[in-house]
Amino acid sequence: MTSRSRRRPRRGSLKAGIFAGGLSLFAGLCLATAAPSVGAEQYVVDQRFGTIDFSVDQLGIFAAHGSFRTFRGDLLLDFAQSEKSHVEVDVDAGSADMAMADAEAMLRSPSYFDVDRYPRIHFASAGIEPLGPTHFLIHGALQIRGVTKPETLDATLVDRHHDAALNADVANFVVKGDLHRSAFGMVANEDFISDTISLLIRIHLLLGASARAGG
Amino acid sequence: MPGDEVARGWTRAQRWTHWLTAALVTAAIAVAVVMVRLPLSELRQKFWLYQIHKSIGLIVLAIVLSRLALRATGRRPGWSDTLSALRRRLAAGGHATLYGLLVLVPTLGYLTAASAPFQVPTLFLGVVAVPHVVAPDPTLYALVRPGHVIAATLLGVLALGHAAIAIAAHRRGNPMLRRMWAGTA
Repeated sequence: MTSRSRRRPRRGSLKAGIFAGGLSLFAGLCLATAAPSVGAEQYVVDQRFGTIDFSVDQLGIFAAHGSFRTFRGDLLLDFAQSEKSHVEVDVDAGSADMAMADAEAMLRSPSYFDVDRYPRIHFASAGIEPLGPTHFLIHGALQIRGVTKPETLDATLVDRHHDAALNADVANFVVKGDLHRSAFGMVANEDFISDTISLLIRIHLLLGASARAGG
Repeated sequence: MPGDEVARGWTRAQRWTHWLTAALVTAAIAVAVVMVRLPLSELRQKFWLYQIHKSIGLIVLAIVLSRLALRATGRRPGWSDTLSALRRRLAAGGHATLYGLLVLVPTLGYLTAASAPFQVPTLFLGVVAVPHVVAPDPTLYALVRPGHVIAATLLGVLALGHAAIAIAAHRRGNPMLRRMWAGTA
């Protein structure tokens, strides 16, 4: 799959697009800052270009996995000055997919995401902390069920190379994080489902001239 | 079917496994009725009821395979002299169907658990993890899950018929049921 996200060039930037291979992404989590620098690129990312997966521990015996089918994020990406990058993402809370209709209905219920009242999960970065050339901490605010809590995500640029077939640079990000559902008022089934929810977000970006036509 | 077998009677092992199978199948069906109706808000109870149901199914499968092995040894009562050839064939067919379903139902149940897109481990007796030899497969799951329910329903109906015929024969003075219970006429 080689679809691309819409790209809104800023200040002479690279031409970029986002390419998604059925994989993940949710660039949602990258780099923040006030004014975009010269090298910054603005991307719009959604489920076509990546995935947001989550997993929970059950009874300490096994893990249950799920993902969000629908999300949209605005990503300002500056490879040269990562601390000037920024990300803001909205996730459709009702799009949680666990391959089990009853479990999905449970997640939509008032005991969990309460999607009738809070249809969106929102994350906005407040600062990017570079730990190395390809490793960053994304500090931001996560809002679930109307409750906003500080959250830090761990992002890694796992791969960046030129794809000859696409005639473009590609970049893959993996973002991980743990959150505590009780902090957002989701305390049901504590005797069965762990409080810690692990997030795994994958982003696949297409950078380069060929992305210009992407839409 | 019961009521047709007379003569020497069954061995102790055959009698024990017969009644144990009957009790376990009854328990498995009762647990199934409750567990599928339990809402996910009762996750812990639902999980353990499924584990009990799956454990019973695996035990039944092992017992039935043992019974088939015992049966293969040839030690079983002969047909009653008063039983017509047609009724003997019907009885033999009924038994074969019962045995077939007793193998099929737990097998389909295992495949249902193994192929389910939402994976839940199978813990035999709540302790021993039973490996799932097939990967999650929505297509297979869509076939085996209703197959398990239909086959289990047929098994329940056939088992009830089996019991009804046994009781009716007992009321007519046939010693078969007493022999199956006590081992003596």
